[in-house]
Amino acid sequence: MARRNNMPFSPMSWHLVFTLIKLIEASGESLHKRMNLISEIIGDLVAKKNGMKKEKETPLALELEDRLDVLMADFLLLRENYQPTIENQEFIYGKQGDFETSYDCILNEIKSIIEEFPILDQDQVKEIMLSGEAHSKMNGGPL
Amino acid sequence: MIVRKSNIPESIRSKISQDANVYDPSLRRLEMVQVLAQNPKSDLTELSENECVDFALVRAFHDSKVIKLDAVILFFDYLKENRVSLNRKRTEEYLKGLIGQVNGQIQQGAYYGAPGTIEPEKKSIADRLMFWRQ
Repeated sequence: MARRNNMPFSPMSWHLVFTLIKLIEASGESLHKRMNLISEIIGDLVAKKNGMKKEKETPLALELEDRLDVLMADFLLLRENYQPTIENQEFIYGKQGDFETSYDCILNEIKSIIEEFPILDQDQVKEIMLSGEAHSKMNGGPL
Repeated sequence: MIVRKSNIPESIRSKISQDANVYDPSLRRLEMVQVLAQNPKSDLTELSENECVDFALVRAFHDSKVIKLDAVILFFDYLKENRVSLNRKRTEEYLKGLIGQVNGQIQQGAYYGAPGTIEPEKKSIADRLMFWRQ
């Protein structure tokens, strides 16, 4: 996909949107799988932030950097404390709930960042070819 | 713009940082069993009723600093370590808890130890008759 003039930081856009859709499709799946998808999304955001900073170190880019630092610190906490036991042992289902809540908080922040900063726009998302169920749904087909 | 320190509430952060295995019922049971023999050398020994009272009395005097009896207390400790339990009741109780066998039944999830190595206590007919007479 060619770079847009008004969105110069778009090479990872396809990957970002695709991962977001994959995350929706994996909403009921294991914590580990969703954690890896969130990791991909954060990686894409970091790549976009680096692209923005390379172009010009604007206050917007610096603010994005600060927010991504907090986001990455939160995600690191989850990565370090994830144990496979919490997904297959009934005595620890409470901790699974804590992870779900943390995912909610992290995803809220990710969506806010995407909304507040020039990372994606609606036209760009429409251009991106989606596979599987998401593509079918966007084209009005059956799921 | 004020950047928050974390997007995850502090209450959730502290819970996430806890080790998941502390809730493992098998480990918790082992911890409870461990209370029976925190110091196996002295806890799995055998004391007569008189010794229990005497030891407690001497230790109470010593601990409350009425009489300083370091040597006697030390003697008691060595005595408990050296004396072999004759009826092995405490050891048996400890091993039953460790292996996970209670009254001849192996509890589910007891995967440590060798199940079936401790026989349940068998009472004689005379004991059972005495029980019903009480």
